[in-house]
Parts: sequence; C-alpha cells; structure tokens
Amino acid sequence: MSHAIPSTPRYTTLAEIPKAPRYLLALQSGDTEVARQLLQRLPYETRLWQPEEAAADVSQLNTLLQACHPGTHLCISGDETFIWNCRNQAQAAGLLDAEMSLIKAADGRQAYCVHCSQLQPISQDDEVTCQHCGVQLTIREHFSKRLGAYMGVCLNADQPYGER
Amino acid sequence: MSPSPIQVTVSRIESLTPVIKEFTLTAQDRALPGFSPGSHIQLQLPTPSRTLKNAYSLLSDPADLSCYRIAVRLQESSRGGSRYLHERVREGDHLQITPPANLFAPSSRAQHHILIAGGIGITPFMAYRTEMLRQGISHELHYAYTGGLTHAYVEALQPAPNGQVTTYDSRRGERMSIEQILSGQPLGAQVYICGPERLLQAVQQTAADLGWPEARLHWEAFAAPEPGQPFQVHLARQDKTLAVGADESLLEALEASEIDLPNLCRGGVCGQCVTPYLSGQVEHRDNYLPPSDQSRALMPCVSRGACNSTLVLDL
Repeated sequence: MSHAIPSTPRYTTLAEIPKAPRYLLALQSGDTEVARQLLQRLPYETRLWQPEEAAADVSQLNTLLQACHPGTHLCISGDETFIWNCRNQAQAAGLLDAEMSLIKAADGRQAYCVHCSQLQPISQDDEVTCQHCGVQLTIREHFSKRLGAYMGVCLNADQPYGER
Repeated sequence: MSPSPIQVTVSRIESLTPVIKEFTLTAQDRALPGFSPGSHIQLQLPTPSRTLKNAYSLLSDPADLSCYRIAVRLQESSRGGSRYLHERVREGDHLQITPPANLFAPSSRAQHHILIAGGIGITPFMAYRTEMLRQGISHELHYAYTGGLTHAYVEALQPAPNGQVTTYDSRRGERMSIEQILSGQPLGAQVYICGPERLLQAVQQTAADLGWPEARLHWEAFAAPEPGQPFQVHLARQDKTLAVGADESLLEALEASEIDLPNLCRGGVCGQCVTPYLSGQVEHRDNYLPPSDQSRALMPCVSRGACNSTLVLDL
C-alpha cells in the first residue's frame, strides 16, 4: 500500500461522528451492517433519506437540505460514488465539510477518463479499459472530490487510443 | 520583504461623532491599489515619542480607487495612535500607508452573509455592504452602537430594504438578540463579527450552543498591542541586546533597531511575524500560535517577554 497523497479521500468511523443538535442521514440502498449500526447510534428523530436505487437521484436530498438550518449534521453512508454525489449536493446547499461525516460502507467507485472526459463505474483493479473511448487506463491515486472519481490516464504511451 | 509604502495626502477629515473621525486618504504619486471588502491598511503615525503602525479597515467603496477612507475611534487607553490622528493630523498632511491586505474577506461559499458590528467595528462592513449591494449578494447587517457616541454610520446605512440593516442603540436600551439572529438561518448562512471582545465571545457562545461549527464564523479580532512591563531581548545571531519599553511592542522595538519582520495585522492574528526564540519567559498574547508551538516561537506584534528574565530570540 502506498502512502496517502493529499487528495486521498478520508472517511470516518461511526465513533467519530460529532455531537450535533440534529442529524440527517443519507443512506445508500442495500442492507449493510454499517447502516444498521448507524440507525442504532443516531437519535430517533434523525431524518433519513434512503433512495431505492443504488445510483440514486441525489437532487432529492436537496429537498430535505433546503428545510435544514445550521446545526444539522449530515451522515452519508454508501460507496464512494454515492458519498461524493451526496456531499457535493450538500455543499451546494451550504453545508460545510465540518458538518458532514462520510462513512464508506461499500466498495463501489468511479473513474474519470482524462482522454474522453467521461465518468464511469470501475472495479477495485488499478488497470481498466475506458468504457467510452476504449483506451487502456491506469487508475491513479489522485481523487477529485468535485467529480467523486479517481483519475484514469493512458496506461501505455505507445497505444494512446482504444482498439476497435 | 515588506511591500513598499504608499504616500498619501489626508484630503478630508470629518468628525462623525465626539469620538469617531473619518479620514479620506488620496494618493500622491501613483494610483491606489485595488482592494477587496474586509481589507485593511497600516498607517504610519510619527508620534512625538516614536513611529506607530496601526491597522485600520478600509470602509470606502472597493470599486473607487480615487481614495481610501478609514474611521478612527479615539481610544482613551491607547498608546497614542488614535490620539495622534484625532488631535495632530490635519487636512493636507502627508502620511505613509502599506498597500491593503485582507484577513477578513467574505467567504466565497456562503450564500447568505450575516454581518454583526459593534461600535467602530462597523468599518469593514461598510465596504462589504457596498460590494454586496452592487453584486446582489444576500446579506443582513446588525449594528450595535451607543447613541451620541459611536453612532458613526447609522444615518449612512438608512434607508435599507426591509430587514437588511438592523440597528441597536444601547442608550435606548435596544439589545441585540444573537440567538434570534442566528435561529432559522438557511444552511448557506455564515457570520462575520467585528467589534469588542465581549460581542465576539457572545456570538461564539451562542453559535456553539446552536451547534454551528467554527468554520461558519469569521471575525476580525485584531487590536493595537496592549502595554505591559518593560523587558530585555537578546538577538542570538546578531549578538545584540535591546530594551523594550512598557508601551512599546517587541515588533516595534525590533523595527526601531532596523530589524524588519514581515507583518500584516500587528494584532496577533495573521501569523506573518512569527519569530523563533531560544530561551526566556514569554507572555503569549496572540490568537495565532497553537499551544504546541508556544515553547519555541512567539508573535512579537503582541507577545512580550517577562521583566525578570531576558528573552533570547533566534534572530
């Protein structure tokens, strides 16, 4: 395992969730052990948003956020794609990073291909083929919080194009 | 290391209240540099005993670079800077200032800005408000003052659209309810405080009680250094010993000996003048250094040595 670089995302454990007057919980679908523990740990009045599909429309979260006031702490639990989509939605609504706990509960992640600018779900492998332009990509450690994705760059400089 | 000073002419002095005067500063030889709301300048004041450098917020329109305007409250217990400005400086006088620096800029992430001013603390918000009105940025201003004494900009801020400006005159018993101000705010709200220490502490306490993280609060806490006991300082690398007077800061004593350290706020918040020391007792008075660094560094703009031991600086 290499050292974490500054852009490596950091996730919190359940024990690290700070005290707050009110909580909002965004939970990715899929019955995980983490979700059960979270529901147990947070107060009864916690508002819950749990979309049915794994790739949810996070703008629904915005409706809940618009009714919140400072003093609300948002816990987001799911895979990295879900976490960062929710986090960016919450940030746009005015929530600060200090007011969010990001709990990684599943392995799903996505990559951004720097050659064709497309986002795509990827496995945990660090070498993949871009689903859009076909270039063989190496998945770099560099993570974009804005995109919620790891950077994918051409693996082999002698073959900077897809095989068709 | 320090930016080159700008020569200005005091083109206008206006008494706004018995204790607050507004000074308009106009450039002599070159255009004034641009600034953002919340910026301050350092004004060099050649008082009879020594040259003071005091920081003042710019209150004029950031889009108007024909002049800078500052407002100065006469401080009874000051080291002479405000008294000098009030009693000695005349229209037509020449002064030196530093280019503007900003330690109190509005957050680019905030969607609604809550400005809380106490007395002379209104000055940075005058520039904020001009800019926010121009750009149509959502904000509200709460301005507490003492009628007949520190009401400098009450009239200038009226009339304002509903709810944008609320004034509180302590002479009339009008009290600011910080809890009411902070309650029911949208998620995009951030707070800015400029005023006396007790106002800052009251807002910090209420915000903490409501569960607001510190990152939602911004404040301007710098003030002129407080006097203390005289002490001795030894510069280890230059093998030189200086005496620091009771009403002089360590930074001023170093500058008087032509040792120039970078500095912006001269009030213990910006961190520019951080200086390592090797031995001696230090009275830390800044809001910058974490306790873990206080055993080897100090902020000479406000912090002092103790009178019974020599402070040894790594300079």
